[in-house]
Amino acid sequence: MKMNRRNFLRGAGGVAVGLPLLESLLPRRARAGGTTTTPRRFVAFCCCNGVEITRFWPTSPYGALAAGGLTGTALEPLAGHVGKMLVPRGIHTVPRGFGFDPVAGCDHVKGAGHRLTAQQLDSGTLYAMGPSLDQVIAQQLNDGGAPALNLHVGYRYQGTNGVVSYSGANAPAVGENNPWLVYQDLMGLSNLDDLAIQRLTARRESVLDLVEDDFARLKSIDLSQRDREKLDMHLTAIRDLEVGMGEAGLIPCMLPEARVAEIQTLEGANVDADSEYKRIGLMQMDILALALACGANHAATLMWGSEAGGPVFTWDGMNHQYNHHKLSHGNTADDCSGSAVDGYLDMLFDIDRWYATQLAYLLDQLDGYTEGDGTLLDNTSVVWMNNLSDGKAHHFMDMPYVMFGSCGGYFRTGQYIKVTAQENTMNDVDAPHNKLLTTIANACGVTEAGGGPLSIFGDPAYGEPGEFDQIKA
Amino acid sequence: MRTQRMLPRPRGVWATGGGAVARRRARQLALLCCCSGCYQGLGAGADGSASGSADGGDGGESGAVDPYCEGETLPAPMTHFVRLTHGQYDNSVRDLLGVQDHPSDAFLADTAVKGFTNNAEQLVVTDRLARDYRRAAEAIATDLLADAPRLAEVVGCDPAPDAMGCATEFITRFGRRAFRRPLEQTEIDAFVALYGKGAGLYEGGSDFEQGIALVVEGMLQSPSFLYRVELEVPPAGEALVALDGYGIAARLSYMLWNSTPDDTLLDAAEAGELDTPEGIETHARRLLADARAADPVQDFHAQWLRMDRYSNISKDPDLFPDFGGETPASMAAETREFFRNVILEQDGTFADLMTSRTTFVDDALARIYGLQGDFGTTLTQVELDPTTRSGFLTQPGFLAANAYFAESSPIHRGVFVQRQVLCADIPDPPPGVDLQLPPADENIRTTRQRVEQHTSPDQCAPCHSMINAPGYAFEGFDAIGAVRTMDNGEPVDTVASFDNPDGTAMSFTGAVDLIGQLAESDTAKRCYTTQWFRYTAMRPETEVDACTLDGIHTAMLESDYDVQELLVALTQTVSFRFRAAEEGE
Repeated sequence: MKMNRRNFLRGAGGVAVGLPLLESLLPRRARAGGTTTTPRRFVAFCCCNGVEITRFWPTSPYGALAAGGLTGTALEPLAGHVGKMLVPRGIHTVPRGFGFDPVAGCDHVKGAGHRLTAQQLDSGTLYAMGPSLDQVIAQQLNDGGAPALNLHVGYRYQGTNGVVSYSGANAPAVGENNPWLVYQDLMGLSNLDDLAIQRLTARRESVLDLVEDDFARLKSIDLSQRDREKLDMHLTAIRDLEVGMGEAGLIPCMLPEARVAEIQTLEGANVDADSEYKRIGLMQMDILALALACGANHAATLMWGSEAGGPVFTWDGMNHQYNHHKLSHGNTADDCSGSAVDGYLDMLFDIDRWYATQLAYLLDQLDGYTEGDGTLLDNTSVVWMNNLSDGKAHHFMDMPYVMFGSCGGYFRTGQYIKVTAQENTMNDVDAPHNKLLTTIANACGVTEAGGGPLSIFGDPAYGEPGEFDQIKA
Repeated sequence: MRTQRMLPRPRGVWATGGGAVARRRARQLALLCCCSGCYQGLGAGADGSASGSADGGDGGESGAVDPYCEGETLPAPMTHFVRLTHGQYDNSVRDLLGVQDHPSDAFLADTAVKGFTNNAEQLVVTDRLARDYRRAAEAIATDLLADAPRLAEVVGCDPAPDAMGCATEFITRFGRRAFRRPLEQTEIDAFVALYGKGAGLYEGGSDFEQGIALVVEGMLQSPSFLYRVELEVPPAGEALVALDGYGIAARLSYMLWNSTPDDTLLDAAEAGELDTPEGIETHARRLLADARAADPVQDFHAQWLRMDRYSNISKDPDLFPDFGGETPASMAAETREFFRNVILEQDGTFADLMTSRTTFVDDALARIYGLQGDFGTTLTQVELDPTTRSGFLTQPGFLAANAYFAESSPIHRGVFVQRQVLCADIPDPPPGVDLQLPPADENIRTTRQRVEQHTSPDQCAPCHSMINAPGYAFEGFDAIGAVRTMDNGEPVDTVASFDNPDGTAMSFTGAVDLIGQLAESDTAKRCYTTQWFRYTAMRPETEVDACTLDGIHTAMLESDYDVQELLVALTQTVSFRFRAAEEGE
């Protein structure tokens, strides 16, 4: 198990040198190693259960994208961002699950566990055997190596189907589905009055001193490697609390008061409920954009629903009777033992378009924060990803990736690009998704431990080294 | 049902030589490396059947004798830091501080290994859990400060004459409860210093009370509270070391109460009463007689039956209009109360769990059972028809959770019997298999016929020859667990038979007959012991545990397989009372 994540992949500088730098009008942040630049960010917008693949892709040929090429597809609600959109086509998941690579797990846990890690799953716990891209970026770019911001919308399954992020092997980072808790963490103590802050800070410091002494005493004993790692893991988790997310960045980590009041009404509410799904999703996206803009974090995941689950959509023109997973199989039962659902493909199409609409909202928020000559979105790589392509067939080929933002000029945006050399994108054996993860890692400035760009992300036994050069500017 | 008796005593004295230990450990590591595979769908398998046999020993140095093991025995390596499970955290703060809600509801959930979520290696503090612990400790301390009567009770002394003296007394006494051992003087000094910093750091309360609150806040975040710390290391050249009395006390109370030891148990540890198997047995029986014993009994069976899935049970409203939103909760409540009652009130046996016709129903369950009368929304004890019902395997929760939306599922029910009850090694279906049964037509009408058709290819036979038959036995129950005689217009057929891996066969006319045979099955009884071992030892069994498990099984056969006796027996083993040397120590 990889316990000491502070050292994992931590480069000397933290930011790759030689990337095109955007001039920033705002004060530049000093970084470890002394390099200064406008920060790069990564956002994984994660959906489950596959898509209605026949109406997903742009209808225009490969090449420059225009709004017209999205008409009638799931991507149509994103037409307003077509200039910053990049659609890489013909990518398959690694390890190739679904009966191809002999690795543990059912199709859904593979889709969940592999997509941001490109690692196989532990056959006992079914958790991924290595860190996810968001955490690797966070470790290198965040102050003190603070972990990524992992958010969830709606009910989350226990175990692999309810998580996409990993701080290391067998170390899932479960998304928080209560926006009020997320916002409190983001604010740190800045929402309390001065006296309350002084009191709480003094208590925490006193308790931390005492607890660290306890740990030091325990660690002075001759322990096995595993037990030493167990204590280190706990200590790291405690110290991550002390890094403090508030007031770290370019703008105050604070939402408008009225919005905060709305979010606070969720305290103690049933955040799992389908009826809150849309409302909470919007709140999470507000907080996510704020966290990136104010410098509190450089990497975030937003997971909608759970693999093999998901809400029953009964809003925005949808009046479904069955949850997303059942519809993905066109069946009234999760185990496909029920009867067929008439018109399920149209329902799935509506769901895909609804998620595209939510994503457009997030992009609007990111585009609303000015950074230098551009916006926060321009310095970010946002990736809409799924665990499957065709949900009914459980396909892992021709995966529906849609990217936004050039990440500081690294990506060729406004393009629809076939990355596999194969004519048939379902035969994309030459385009493993770990190369996409490697490309994004380098776009964000992740470096090898000894410096220089990352050569491969994920398990080399399944993925391939190198980047997808076709999608780079 | 039986009365209490003393346990069978040791029969063999075999000890262990260093060479044999090293060889065995090497073999165990090799096994771990080979262990891989794929499981999905119904979840973790239970391949806990007797495997391997213990070597005969030669020589020996520790003098530790397992009363249930005629061969040498040695505990498998165990972490020195066993984090409290979330349930244990809640129970501990309840017993220490009177906290009645469940702080762990907001904690990051733990993951299951071999079917149980309390695997000692996997219980780590990572990700948000440190934040959750801090948040809980701060809330508990603040709430305590706002509740003056409860605070006074927790403090237990009057600060008026000598606040510092009372604080020191509180730290010494409460610390012993919270850390499950006496505090060292340096620790007392550190907490007295912490107490001194508390004044002015909270909104309400006196300086004294604020100091106490800060001590509580600190203790609840200390590793000495969050982990059961066992620091014993065998002396050089020795394979084993006995746990001290406090370590035994904590193992005992977290096993039999899922909560912190009471003062009586800590006093017993201090007096050396827990240094002998007899002393441990006496206190094990005392703990089992306390209401707190219900928690682990119910939690174990809930995990064994995978009752976490009950809340997700949904049924076709057109076919089962009586199945309401609250019905799954009623099903779970019935089964939990059943296990508590049979084991702790009736002092029941394994066979009683399998065959008792006494159960607990509300209106929703009474309708499924076909009982007449008004039962309301609370559980009432009833006797069921012995010709159709027998023990927990015919309760609606089990039958409905192992069934489809509209139909029964012989495969799910059969897999449960084989994996969980008989500890058979049934792999998951290979990837790419279409799991959907063929639709009924004129020739293939019943669910059983459709399963037979679906699993008829030769490559299905090795597993489905074992799975299908016990599943067919339950075909007299529909998707919500109600008795039925017809399936799709045809009479149900519950007569079946299958071969066990050991060459014996089981044939039965239906569920009641099958369960009656399982109640007497040695394989099922040993499997039940294996499952309890996994839960109470907080780790899967290894090859070195086979001897102990075989020994307990044999002893339990001689005592009717009384479940309380089984739990007491699990406290008597070398594995429970000792730690083994580990690599890297």
